[in-house]
Formats: sequence, C-alpha cells, structure tokens
Amino acid sequence: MTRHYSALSLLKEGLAGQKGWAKAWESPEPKPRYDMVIVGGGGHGLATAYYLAKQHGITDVAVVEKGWLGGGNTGRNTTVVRSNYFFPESVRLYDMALKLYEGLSRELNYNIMLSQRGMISLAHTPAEMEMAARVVNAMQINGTDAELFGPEDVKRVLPIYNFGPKARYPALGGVWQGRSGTARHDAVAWGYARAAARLGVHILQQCEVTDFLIEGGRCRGVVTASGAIRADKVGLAVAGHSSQMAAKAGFRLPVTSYALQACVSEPVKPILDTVVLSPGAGTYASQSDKGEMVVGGGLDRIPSYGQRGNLPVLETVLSGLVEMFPAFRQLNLMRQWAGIVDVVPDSSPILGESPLPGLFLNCGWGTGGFKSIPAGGVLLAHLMATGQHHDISRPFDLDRFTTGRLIDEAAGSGIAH
Amino acid sequence: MRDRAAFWPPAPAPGAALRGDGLIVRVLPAVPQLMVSGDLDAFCAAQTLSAPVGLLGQVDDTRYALRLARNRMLAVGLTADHAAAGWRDGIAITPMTGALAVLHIGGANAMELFVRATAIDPRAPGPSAALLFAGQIAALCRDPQGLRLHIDRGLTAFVLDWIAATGLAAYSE
Amino acid sequence: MTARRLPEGGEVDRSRPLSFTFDGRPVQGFHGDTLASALLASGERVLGRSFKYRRPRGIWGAGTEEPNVYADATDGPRFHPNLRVTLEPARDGLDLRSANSSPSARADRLGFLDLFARFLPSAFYYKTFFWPNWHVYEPAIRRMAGLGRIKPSSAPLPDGDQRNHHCDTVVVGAGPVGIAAALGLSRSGESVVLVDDGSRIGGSLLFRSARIDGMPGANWLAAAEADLRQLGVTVLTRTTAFGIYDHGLIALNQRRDDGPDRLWRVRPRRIVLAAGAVERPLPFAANDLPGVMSAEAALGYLRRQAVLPGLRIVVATNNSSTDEVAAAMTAAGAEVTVVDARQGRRVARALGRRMVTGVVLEDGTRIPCDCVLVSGGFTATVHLHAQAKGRLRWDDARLSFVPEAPVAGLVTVGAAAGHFALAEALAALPETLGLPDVPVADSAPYDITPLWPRPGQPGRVWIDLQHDVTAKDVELAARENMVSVEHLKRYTTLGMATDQGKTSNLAGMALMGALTGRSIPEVGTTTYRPPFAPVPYTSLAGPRGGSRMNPVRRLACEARHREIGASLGDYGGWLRPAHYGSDDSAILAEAKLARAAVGLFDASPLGKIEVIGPDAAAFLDFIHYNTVSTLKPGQCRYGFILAESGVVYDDGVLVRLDDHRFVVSCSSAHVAGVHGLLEEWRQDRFPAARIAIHDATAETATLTVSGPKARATLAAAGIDADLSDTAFPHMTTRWHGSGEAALRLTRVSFTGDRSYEVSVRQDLAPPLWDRLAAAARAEGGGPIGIEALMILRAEKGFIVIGKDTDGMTRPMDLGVSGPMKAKKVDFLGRRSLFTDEAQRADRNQLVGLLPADGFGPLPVGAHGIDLSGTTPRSIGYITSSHPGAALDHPVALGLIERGAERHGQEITLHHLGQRRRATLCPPCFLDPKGERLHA
Repeated sequence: MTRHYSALSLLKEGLAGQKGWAKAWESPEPKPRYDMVIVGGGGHGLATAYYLAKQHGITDVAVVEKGWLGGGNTGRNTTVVRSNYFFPESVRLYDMALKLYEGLSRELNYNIMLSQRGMISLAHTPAEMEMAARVVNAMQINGTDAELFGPEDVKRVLPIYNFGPKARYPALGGVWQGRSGTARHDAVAWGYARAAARLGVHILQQCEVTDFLIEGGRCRGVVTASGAIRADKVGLAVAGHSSQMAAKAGFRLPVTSYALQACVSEPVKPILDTVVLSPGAGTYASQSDKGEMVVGGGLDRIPSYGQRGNLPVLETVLSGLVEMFPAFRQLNLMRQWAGIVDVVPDSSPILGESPLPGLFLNCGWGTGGFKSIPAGGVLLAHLMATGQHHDISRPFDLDRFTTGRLIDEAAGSGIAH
Repeated sequence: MRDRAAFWPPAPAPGAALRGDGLIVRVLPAVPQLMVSGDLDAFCAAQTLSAPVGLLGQVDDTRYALRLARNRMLAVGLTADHAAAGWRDGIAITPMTGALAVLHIGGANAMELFVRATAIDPRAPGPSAALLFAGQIAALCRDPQGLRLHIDRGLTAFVLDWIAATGLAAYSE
Repeated sequence: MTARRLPEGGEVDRSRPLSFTFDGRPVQGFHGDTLASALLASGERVLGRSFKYRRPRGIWGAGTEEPNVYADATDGPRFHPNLRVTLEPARDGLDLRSANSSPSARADRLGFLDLFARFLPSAFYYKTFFWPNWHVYEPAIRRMAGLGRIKPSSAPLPDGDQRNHHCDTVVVGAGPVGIAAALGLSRSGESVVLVDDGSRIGGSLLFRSARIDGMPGANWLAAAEADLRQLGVTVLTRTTAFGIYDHGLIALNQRRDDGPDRLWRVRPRRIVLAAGAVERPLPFAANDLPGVMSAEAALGYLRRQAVLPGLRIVVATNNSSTDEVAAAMTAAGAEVTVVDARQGRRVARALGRRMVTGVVLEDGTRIPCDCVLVSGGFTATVHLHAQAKGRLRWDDARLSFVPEAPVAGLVTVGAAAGHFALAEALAALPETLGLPDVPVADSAPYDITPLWPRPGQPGRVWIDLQHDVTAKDVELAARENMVSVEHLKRYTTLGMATDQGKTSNLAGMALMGALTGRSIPEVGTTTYRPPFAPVPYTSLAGPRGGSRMNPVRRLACEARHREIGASLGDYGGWLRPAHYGSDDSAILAEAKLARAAVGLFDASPLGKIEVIGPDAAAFLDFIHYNTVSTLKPGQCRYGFILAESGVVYDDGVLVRLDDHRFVVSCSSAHVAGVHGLLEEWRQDRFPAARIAIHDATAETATLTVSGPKARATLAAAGIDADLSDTAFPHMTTRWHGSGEAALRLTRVSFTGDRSYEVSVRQDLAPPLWDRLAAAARAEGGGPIGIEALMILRAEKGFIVIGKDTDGMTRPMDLGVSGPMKAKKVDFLGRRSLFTDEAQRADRNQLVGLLPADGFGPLPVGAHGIDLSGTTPRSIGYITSSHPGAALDHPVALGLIERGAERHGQEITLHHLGQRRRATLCPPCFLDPKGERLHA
C-alpha cells in the first residue's frame, strides 16, 4: 500500500500501474458515539478535525457531511489566499491562516499548489490611494507584508492592464501583498481530509444532520438520517447553512446568506501572473495553473440558498474585467457557478461557543472562508479541545454583537462584503 | 491622469438630436413636473388631471401623470413655486422641473431602442412607470409621436451616449 | 492521407473556392465548408495535441461537442484564441495555429511527454512537488497548460451587442422535431423564436435520410423553411441557447457574419427544448487516434461537405444509428466493415502511431483500416432542463439520462427527451405540446446494447479526450475512494474541459459505477451549469465599457467649468471641478483667494432630500442624533444621522422650510444611502399618509459664495436681498424672487468664512453662474474647486464623512455627546451608544495634528503607533492633511486613541516603513470663536 506521497512513490506506482495507492480516506460506518462531532465536511470542518487530532491528540472525532466532502463553498471559491486586512484582529487571523498555508503542503503531504504570486488591490482615485496607504500601514504595523504601489509598480505586475486614456478605472496604484496568491481549493479539502483520516478521524459523507441532541440544556450530539450520534462537544462549520442549523439548535445568528458567483474562462497560456482586485470595476481575477481565468465580483443581493446567481451580476463582473484588461475580450466564458456565503453585519467571522452549551460555532466568513481555512480549523479545534478561546479567536466571539465591539472589515476587503 | 475632462465626453449642446433609421431622440426644453405623494386621486381631481399611467401608458403630450408607486406619482405639465411647495392639504409636492430631463424618442424604431435599454416585457409593462433604462432609474410613457423618457438631468449626457453606442442613432445638429 | 473530397454532392459551393492556412500550410476549401470539413478534406489527420500528454489528435465530431481540435485564428487585425473548428465557417485568408502545440500539431516538441504518461496519471501533481516548494515547478506547468494564447497586441475586439426579447415560446434546436414544434405552436397563434447553433436549420435532416409526411426529409425541410418565414417565426441560426436563469430567463448567444456576437436575454412563457442528442465514443484501447471519429459526424461531413473520411472504414457500433452511416460510406466508394456489439463483436484496440491503421477485435480478428467511425450511443442534451432544476431519470432501454418530468415553463421533446427515433419523437408532440396536428415520419426504431468501459480493460482507453483522462484514471480515483461523481470529476478533471464532458461524462459514470457496485443512476450526474457552450466575454460584457461604465452625473454648469479650464474629477459619482487650470498649484492659490476675498464654488451635488408632512418633525427627531423639531421655519442646524450600530452614517445641515417641510442635506456620495435609510425607517415606524420623502437633489443647482467679500459679491451679482446679519443670520434660509428663477439663499458655512449657498432650478443655473463669477472676480476673488474647499474646511476641523470618520466612529468620538445624554426621544442608534464598546475610554477620537519634525505636511494614512509594548500597536491614523491657506503651516486631522485628552502631546507615526513625529491639538486650527462667519 503506498500511503506516502512523493516523487519516489509516483515513480514506484508508475511502474506498478498505479495499483498500490491507498485510499485517501475510508468510508466508515458511523459509530453511535464520538468524543467530538463536527458538522460540515468543508475546508473548515475538515481542518478542525485534523487539528483536534494533530494538536490536541483528540482522534475520536467524526466529521459529518450531508453531501460529498469539500462540495460546498470550499469547492466553489475563486481560490484566493491573502491577509490584506485592516484591523489587527483580522490581520492576526488571516495571517495565521496564510502562514499555515505556507507550510501546509508538506505538513499534510498533499500539494495544495500554494502560489504566492501576490495580490494587488487597485486604487483608482486619489481618495482611494489615501485609503490604500492607511491599509498598507495597518498591515505593516500588524506584522504582515504590504507595499503601497504606484502606477509604475502596477504596470510591472499587470502589463496588460488598461493604461490607455479611455480607461474607466486608471490604475494609480494600490495595496500590494506579495505573500498573497492562490491555492488549489479541492486539494486543501482533500489534503486535510486525508491527513485527518490517517490520524483516525471518521469522515461520514452523505450523512445529513437533521437535528441536534439537546439534553439538560446542552448539546449532546446530532441526529442524522441514519440515526443519532452522541458526542461530548459538537462543532458547526456549515457556512451558508449556518442560519438553518442554528434554528434547529434554538438560537438565531446575525447571518444572511447570499449567492456569490464565480466563473472560469477557457484555458489560455499564462498571461496574468498575479491576483488583481478592482473595487471600482467590481471585479477580481487570477489565472489558474490550468490556464483558466478565475473571476469573481459582488454578491447577488437577494438572500438565497440557491447556489446560483443571475445574469446581471455576471454581466457586470465581466464588463468590469474586460474594461480592466481589453485583451481579455478574446476569452470565452466556460463555466459559471455560485456558492452560498454567510454574511455578517461587520463582515467578520463568528468563532466561539454558541448560545447552546456544547455547540461551537465557526461561521460568518462571508466571502472570506477559503483563505481562512487553516486558522478556522486551528481555532475551532482549540475552542472545542480546551473550552477556551485562543487569543486570536476571542475578538470574533458572538458576544461582540452585544458589547458592540464589531470588527468592520467592509472597507478592508473592498469587494463583496 | 487625474484630469478626467477628456475622458468624459462633454454633454451635447441643448437642442442636439440623435438620428437614425426610424429613430429621433431629442432632449425637450424644460418640462414642468411635480413629484406628488399622498392621495393621488384627490390631487388629480383637484387639478383635472387624468389618472396616472404606468409604464408605456398612453398620454397626451402636455398634461399627464406617471404612476411611480402606490401613493406617488410624477405630475407633468404642472408646476409650483419652490417656496409654495411642500405639504398642501394632505398631499406632498416637490418641483422636479430641474431634476428630470425629458427625452423624446420618436420614429418607427422607437421600440427597437426600448428592447435594448430594458428587460421589461413591453406586452406586460406593469403599473409603475418607473424602470431601469440603460441601467438607470427613469420613467417612461407613450405620447402620440413616440416615447417620453423622464430621467435625472445629470445623466442626460450618459443616456444620449448610450443610445449612440447602440448604433441605432448618431449625433446630428 | 486518405480522407478526401468527393467530386460531387453536398452543400458546398464548388464555384466559390477559398483558402486559409493551418500551422503554416495552405488548406483549400469551398464556401459552405466549416474549418473542420476543409481540414478533413485536405487529408491532414493530425490537427491537434492533447492537453496533458500532447498526443496527436484529429477531428472527432462536427459540432459543439468537439473535444480535440482548437485553433488560434488571426483574421486580419483581429485575433481569436481557442476557435472550435467544427463550428466556424471556413473563411478566406484566415491564419490558424493549432492551439497547445509548438511549433505545429504535426511536430509538437513536447510530444515526448506521452512517453512518461505512466508517471503522470490523474492528480499526480497533488502527490509531489513538495521540495523546495510549488513555486519552483509552477512556471513550467503553467506554460504547458492552457489551450490557445491571448494576443494583447492585436486590435481590441468590438463590444458585443445585447438585446432583450419577449415572446410566447422559444424552441431550442431546429432539427425536425424543433421545427415541427415551432410550426405547430406558431400556427396556433404563439409568437415563436426558433434557435439553432448550426449555420442552417434542419439538424439531422441535413445529412440523414428521412421520410416525413410521405416526402424526403430534404423536401419537407424546404417546405418547412418557407412556412416558418411565412408565419413570421423568428429563426436564429448560429445561435446557442446557453443558459437558463431564475424566472424563466433563457440566454442566447448569436454569432453574426456582419458584426460581433449578440446576447439575447429572452423571457418566453415557455421553452421547448429540442436540442437533440450527442453521440458517444466507444471504449477501446487507443481510441483517441486521429482517424477515429464520431459516426454521426462523419455522415454529416459526407452528406453536407462531400468529405469521405477514409477508404477502408471500420464502423464500430452498439446501436442501430450506424446502419445508415455504413451504407452511405459504402455508396460513396469506401470499403466498410461493421463491428457491431449487438452481434457480440467489439473493438479491443486501435492500431497506429499518429493515425489509425487498423483495429483488433476482442476475438483477435485484425482489420486494417484508415478510419474508424464509432458510435457508443447517444446522450440526450438535457442541459437546459437540468439548469432549470429539472430532474433526470435514467432510461435503461435507451442508455441515456432523460428529463424525468417537465419543469414549469420548460418542456423537452425529441431526442433530448430520449426519443431517438424520429417517428416516435414526432408522435409524442401532440400530447407534450398540445398540438392538434404534427408531421408523421417513417423511421426505424432505435436499438442499443450497453457497451461501457470495463474495470481492468487492458490498454489506454480514453474517456475524456480533451483532458487526457483514461479508464485507468477512473480506476485510480475509485481506488483512492474518490467515488462520488463530483470527486471523480474534480480528481481526474473528467468533464472539466471546454467541451464540459459532452462526450465523456457518461462513460466515466458508468465505469465508476461498475467499479463501486453502483448503477449509472446511483452514481448520478454532476451539476449542470451554464453556459452550455463557451460564450464570448464580449457578448456578456456588452457595450458597457469606458464612459458608459458606472457613469458620473454632470453638473448643470459643466460647460462653464470646462470653458474656464477646470480640471475635472469623479467625486462621489459626479464630475466636478477639482481645480481650475492644469496645474495642481492652483489648489492652494484658490484657497487663499477664498480666504482673502471670495470663492465661488459649485456645490450642486450636495444632497437635498425633502421630508414633508405633519409628522416630518417627529420623524426627523427619530432619525437624527440631534433634536431638530425645535427648529423654526427658516432655521438650519448641523447634525448627524447614525446607523443602528451607533456609528455616524452621515452628517449635514438640516433645513426647516416650514412647519411641515424639511430638507435633509447629506454628503453628495451618500444621497442614495440616506434616502434609503429614511424610507426604510419611515416604513418601519411611521404612517405613510403623514410623511413623504422626495429626493430633490437634482432639482436645484447650488452655487456657494464664501469669503469676506461674499455679501458684496451677491449684491454685485444683482441679488438684492437684505443681507444684513440681523435680517439674514447665520444658519438660516430664505427665498428670494418668484417664478421659475426663484432662488433659495442659505447662510451656512463649510469654510469658516461668511458663506451663502444660492440655489436655483438646475437648468437655469448657467446664467446665475455667469453673474456670480463676474461679481466674484470684480471683488478680487474667483471660482474654486473641491480641492481648495477641502483645505478651507480642514483649517476649521470640519469633517468629511468616510474620510475623517471610519466604520467605528461614534458621535462622542467627534466630540458631540450632548444628545446621547440629554435627548428626550428615542433616536436611531441610541441603544448602541451605551454598549461597553461605545463607552470605552480609549476610543479613537477626532484630533488635529501638526508636524513636529520639520519634514513638511503629514501623510494621509499614516498611523500613530504606541511603542511601549513588545510589538508596535496602531493608535489611529491621519485622515486629512493639507497646506494652510489662511494659516502659514500645514494642518492635519486624524482619529487617534484618546485624542481629545491628549492635546499638546507628541506621537510617533508610521508611514510606509518610515517614522514621523506629530503634535496633537484641537481639530479647529483657525478662528475657533467663529468670528470670520460674520466678517
């Protein structure tokens, strides 16, 4: 059985007709009881299970996923990773994730194809340049890499940007984070799943949680289509379905779910080497390693669980893209889809014990869920294992909506919050 | 790079028209208009105005009203002194003569422009005369010579430019 | 070299030859050819290279399902990457380069990669490239990926055209069934749009023999075309219906010869999906060799473009559709051998290196050939039904997924519904569509036996041609427990290429089912997503670029500003003078002029939302932080509107015009937001009959006159109102004159100097501007732009919302805590002002800053830092910074922790890696007593 991935094992299996590869994960029958259950088999849920096992030695864990693992937002996002946020709490959170991403391929023995080719958030007016300076300084003070780009810098990283006199959004500069980039989304989910499974975690796919087991005012497990599963603690990492699950657990969350669209073009040879965001044009884009242009924009503003958006948003996003890059008029749209993003009034996530004791929340990432997966996993695992917040997750507790200490990143991310 | 005077095309001179095959678009000289909220029936009776029409409703070209919402309409052909506007016997009135330009779209191909500018079904237009025209909020009705488009005056230059970009009409003096 | 053009027959017009080049070699064709048919006729087999292993590939199909052959096309100055050669009409003068090959498809220098294929199975890249890291390998992998190439230097492609359309019915697919449906529905009075992606309507009638209503299919088609014209059915050819969206919107992309593509957004009452079915390949080793083609496509090339695909043809099949193909090829002069799985004969592998030279059957028989025409059956084209959330069921007799039941507004007919025999398809129409009368066809029933890839099948059996996925890759996925259909797709990339799995998905599902003990329906399908076929970005982007994108609003006096050389900028969605003259140095000069004499400023975009009615005062007391109901008619008051979170949402001057009429003036960039806020809260808590909210921002232009000579300027401009301070105190408003040219004069100051806003009906503003400008000049002043205004207000510490406030700034942070303590009535945001967070002592507060290090003005965006801990900590930032106009030193504003209690203290600033020093001070630098207001 070849379990370990390496060039050598590829060589060996190449000679053996690929016959010896071990399963990436098993498909075990659910046990009636685990120490911990995590609802949601996306990136955050799987990462939580991994870190519970790896960092806390808690291996009697089940991840319960209603569909196939990684099939929700983790499989639908535009793969951008970055930590160019404004508030120190946010920078600590997202930079924790980015630093974990930096070592993740080796740690998981799974190539997540982390490509740190930088991200430029463009500024098109003097006022936007002032904001960009404010953000760059915040990032520098908070210990992450940032640079304020001027027009020549933009030209260097985006030679095909529209610098002509007829450009609607001239590039005056912007916020550059060199460590930003992309990672292969499926690989992140599969990498965490495989690593967690190797440590003993059970991943239960096609197993929908229909209710919570509540006894004596505590969450004691979950009810699934194939029966009840008891647990000491339950974690909830279901992104766009958080409100629905919260309703089953008897509390409300300040979450509204919207469709967030994304699309890919037909693949072409490399032409865009960095991630680019234009708040003015309402569009962001990068080019995948397969050559497709991966493009996104703002939310479809009608709340929905439909996992699909409509034509006006797509048209707006693509018109913004070809305005920024006239050469992209040569491209064809190959496929479009949407995820369900759970948006919170201050555009920051919710981490912490829920109003139902024993049930722990990891949600509200909105459009920022993919870039934060490793941190979401570490922090939810810490919460569940110790019962306490990690320093980095404390500010994001649900109680901030009572104290008023919101972390309003609407300006920080520029688009879609 | 900061001077955008060259990027935004100057607004066309008053009286300029766009002409094309079966299409003439002109900006009318200032049309008296009032925004009216409240008991619309009472207002129309007091002013001997016909009932407000919805999208693509048929009006004569001097005095008419466009229904905008359940209790709001745009009265056209009437005006009020700014100083005297406001609350009058249960009705709220605000002059809109300056705020809204009126474009006249005439010619056999007027509806060809309509289907480019809006996704609304002209066969089932709806009770409000408001619509998104070329992506901007506007109100639209029919008169004996064509269509009348009421739109924010500051966007007149854009709308004319947009119409020219469809290729259906071009500037002429 | 054994495909050839026959001397007669087909639709091609031999009197109109043309030629183009492919990989540098000339190719001859005729009008009526597609690029594919001309390439085939030229005898060239190797026309492409596969994505991963760079295997030689030839043409497989005749339509949108083509997986193999793409070309980058140069057409004069224009350039199109990734053209699908099967759909493009042949054109004179095109220069085609095979995509993803270098230097040519014939002689690709990366062709050797195939030798290492065993080490490069699906998903191999997840299992290696760990050391040192992915960045080392990524550039090479990126260069090998991608099909065609974008050429930034070529002429920009024109905007796509877009239109909206409404009708009763859209029929997707103009084969015989679609045409019959369109005719029937049109005859019953419906307005019908008939759509087909071919260059002619007719579908299978263009190349298959048929008998409909007793006549040959071609004759029936000709009569039908005439009927469609006569009935006024809108027929769109070269048009792909690519997506269904909410509420029955169907999107079409129309190719046009005389212009760019056109996007149609159509909302019919009903969609009839008659999109036909796509032929599948058969699974055998080396089934990707050039010369292995779809039998249906080959029949099309033969009958339509008179191209015989080979001289010694093997027809490998599992169904009855190939009977006609074999007969036609024979009649055209080829030697044809049929290998029919229904008789237990199956191809095990194809022979040949760069093109097929023969096949070996499972029973060992060897058959030399130069062409293999395959049919593995047909897959109903159900995509639009599935996009519309329709469910599918597996038809075990026909071996295809078909729609289970119609969805609201969409019904499927013909082969797309699994009726692969024409007679049956037409016979189903009356019931499905409620048509009284339909054509009647004679046709043979459809008969098929399953022939799917088998676990353990020897050799390289290709499943997804474009992404180089073999049966062994599917086995690998199963072995690693990637058994759900979506994991299979993402792990192997099967179905993720530009053909979106049209010829490959089902075989992959079938094999995965066999490997895991599941039936095909148990494995299920992946989600069908738009677009059905790739759509040009230009179609979707439409004519929205340049000055037509997010247009700015224009000032009534714009022509005047341009005439005097204004440098214009986009401020809050309006095009406004930043300053006059081309040099930035004008900004400070204008500010100084306004301080010394008078400045004239176009303030028209300032929001003016009228709130009218007997409950207006009570309503506005709820909306505003301050109390406003105590204003008398003619009075104004500056205040804030908070959001529910207690954060300052907007500021502005509230004007009371009379007992029942107020004007909320708000930042020009915020008008829509404030209007929305007012409406929302009115609807939430106040009766509609007693409050109306009208946005009157655009009704008037507002020209502001500010400075010591302001009064004199108004008088000189002929405004003969009583401007004495007793008659016209600061923060009051009055009317002047009557009729359409009436003015409203408001004495309010954003500069700290004596200042008057003159408002007039917008379209009458230019003559007023002229008078005021002449008067201002006469008084030693002149026009000033926004940038100068920013300096003047900064000297006074007047904030700009969104610049000097951020998403956390609460009124106390701006030094205004009176209403929080004393206001009697409830107001928007009140509760949030009493949270722990809002009451924190160490909040960021508005403060003034002066440079303390002699290095000139402080940079906006610089942060104050506290260096007392182990790591630096931000204590706020600089939000505005300007040179002084009345003052001889620069001024700055910022939000700094405990700023209000730290006046006089020095702080360290961080700006882009550098350090600065600044002294904190009160935010008002000039005339704190406000004496200049009355100067």
